[in-house]
Amino acid sequence: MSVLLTRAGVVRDDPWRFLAEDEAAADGADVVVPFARLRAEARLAERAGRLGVAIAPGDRVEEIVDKLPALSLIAVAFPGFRDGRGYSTARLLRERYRYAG
Amino acid sequence: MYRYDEFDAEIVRERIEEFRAQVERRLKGEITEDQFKPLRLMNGLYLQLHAYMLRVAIPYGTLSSRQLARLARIARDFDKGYGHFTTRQNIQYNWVRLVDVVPILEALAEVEMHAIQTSGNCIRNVTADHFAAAAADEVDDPRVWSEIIRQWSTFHPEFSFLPRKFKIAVTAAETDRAAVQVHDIGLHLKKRDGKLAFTVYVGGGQGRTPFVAPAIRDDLAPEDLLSYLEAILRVYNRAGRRDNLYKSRIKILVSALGAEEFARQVEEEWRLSDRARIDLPADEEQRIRDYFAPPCFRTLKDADAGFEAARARDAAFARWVSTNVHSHRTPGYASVTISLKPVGGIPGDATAAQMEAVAALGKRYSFDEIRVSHEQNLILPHVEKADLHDLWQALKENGLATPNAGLISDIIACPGLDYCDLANARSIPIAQGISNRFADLEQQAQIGELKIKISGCINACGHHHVGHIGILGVDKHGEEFYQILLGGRGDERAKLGKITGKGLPAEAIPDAIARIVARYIALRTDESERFIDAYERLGPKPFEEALYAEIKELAA
Ligand code: HEM
Ligand code: SF4
Repeated sequence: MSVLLTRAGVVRDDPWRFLAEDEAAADGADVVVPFARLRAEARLAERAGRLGVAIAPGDRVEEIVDKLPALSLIAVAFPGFRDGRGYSTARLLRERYRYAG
Repeated sequence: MYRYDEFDAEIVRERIEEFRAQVERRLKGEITEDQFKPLRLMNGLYLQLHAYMLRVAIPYGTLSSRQLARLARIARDFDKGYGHFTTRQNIQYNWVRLVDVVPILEALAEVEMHAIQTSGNCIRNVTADHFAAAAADEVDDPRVWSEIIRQWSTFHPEFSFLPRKFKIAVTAAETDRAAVQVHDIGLHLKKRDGKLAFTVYVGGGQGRTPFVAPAIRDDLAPEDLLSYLEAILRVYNRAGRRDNLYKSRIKILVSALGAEEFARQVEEEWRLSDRARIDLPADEEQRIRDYFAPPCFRTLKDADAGFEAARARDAAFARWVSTNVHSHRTPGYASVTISLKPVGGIPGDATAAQMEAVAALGKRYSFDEIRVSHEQNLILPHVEKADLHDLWQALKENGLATPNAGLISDIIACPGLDYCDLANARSIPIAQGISNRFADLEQQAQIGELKIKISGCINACGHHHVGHIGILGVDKHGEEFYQILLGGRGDERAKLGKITGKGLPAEAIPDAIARIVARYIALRTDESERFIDAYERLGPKPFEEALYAEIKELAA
């Protein structure tokens, strides 16, 4: 279960749906797909509805740089607070790939 | 000397307040020790065999008199009257009560000290050459770079949860006194074609899988230092193993990839990085450098008649000078090693009274500066030769004038089973046993330089891998045994010691060391050939034979 946090605090009516590996992306819905699906499914961005990706600690953002413009949300996962890989991911996204979403 | 800026002071204050609340909850039993553990470790508070232990950072081992006097007061008011200086140029208080921790942290903050980042998987206290700014063979003050690294790495948002702890050491002298090649990153600043450049060693370390670090760069421009470090740390943060505690240090990553491939990945990361954003602008470097401006040395002739006369007159003084006084680059000055290794004593321990005495002597004779060496001694870096005899007498009155720097009783030992809950065996009593066996200082001087390093378990906090003679405590069916290693060194020609045959019981160690030493004396070409030189010339065989000679006789 993830909670969407913004600068304004917890968003109550979180419109985003985190999809599983095999769950279809309904047209019109705002969906967050796992990293591997974003890489594999070329047409995800062509649907109606916003698209996001969930990045696990071991995922390498370099591999999805070409898709960044199509993404409205990037969820960097921190499964345990001692695993700091997400901080490198976040820094690369912001500074190297200029992701501003 | 560097002073904390407002930013540091504010954060340290906030951290103390936060911790005060956490300690109160623990004292009231509102949280368990398990819940408290990550919180206390963030503040340098460990739980050992018998009590809490607080580890206080001494950045690059440099202290002012005021700071050392404060460390003394803490030892007196809150510990059993002493503190323990460690191989990482820190001080540890071994008998701390939980209720006293916040008052201790407050007392430290008043002198710009703290215990942050002395634990956890972050970049730890940066260590440096203890003769910085005094050594003749130095190309720059390594503390300038250590301080730049300290500021960059403190609360670094990206590198606070690395796969494992991370230790960086810096030297800028020809002779490496900071053991940089056995650190996660070792930086050796040298002159190259007239310009300063870092040789960058990555992936050294001790512990259960020791490595001497390979150099991945020998021409790094100093102004590129931070962006390059950041590239190394990023490669490690992303690719270092997190599935196995024993394989999580950067040395394992470097050895798995090979130094060349690791270097390639770092270079690639560095090429892509936004260096202008990370590297320090020249004026900022200068601002930090100004904190380390050399003291106002007087213009003196190098030879001092009074000093020479005292040396000729007083044999005990002369002996101390020959071991514990080191040449200084400024004419008329010297650096002094204050031995924390009295015969039969506990390596690295200093009483409150001793710390106070050194603080006062540092103020009087050494421009208010004191250093902690990784060999667990204190240093007065800048002493006028004319003052040496007075200084020596004052040290003698405080039990601090043992003339054994670099000799067989200048032993490094970890806390071992007397304190540490990871230990397999005691290390302190082994050090004491050897020190007592060689109590005759005349004999020690004749043996010459010999570095013994002792760890109470495979974690190698006592650097046994790089001792000329290393001693490792092991547990054999519930009994303490000691494995001997030979031929290690932690200097600019770093090498890991060779493990010899089977372990010996504690009571056999002093005699075993004595047999090795006797063989060395018999085989050395002359007094100028040190133990380590003879070992490298002759190989391990004669020394191993000597080590096990008696044991064979017993078996026969
Ligand atoms: C509470 C007592 C201590 C504990 C629990 C402890 C724990 C450890 C552990 C687990 C390691 C191995 C790390 C690895 O291989 O990845 C280690 C290494 C080390 N520790 Fe300690 N230590 C303690 C006290 C000390 C003291 C007192 C010193 C300084 C005198 C020290 C200095 C070092 C050094 C130099 C290393 C080897 C370099 C390295 O691999 O990091 N430790 N320690
Ligand atoms: S080497 Fe082992 S026994 Fe010694 S302090 Fe480190 S963990 Fe403890």
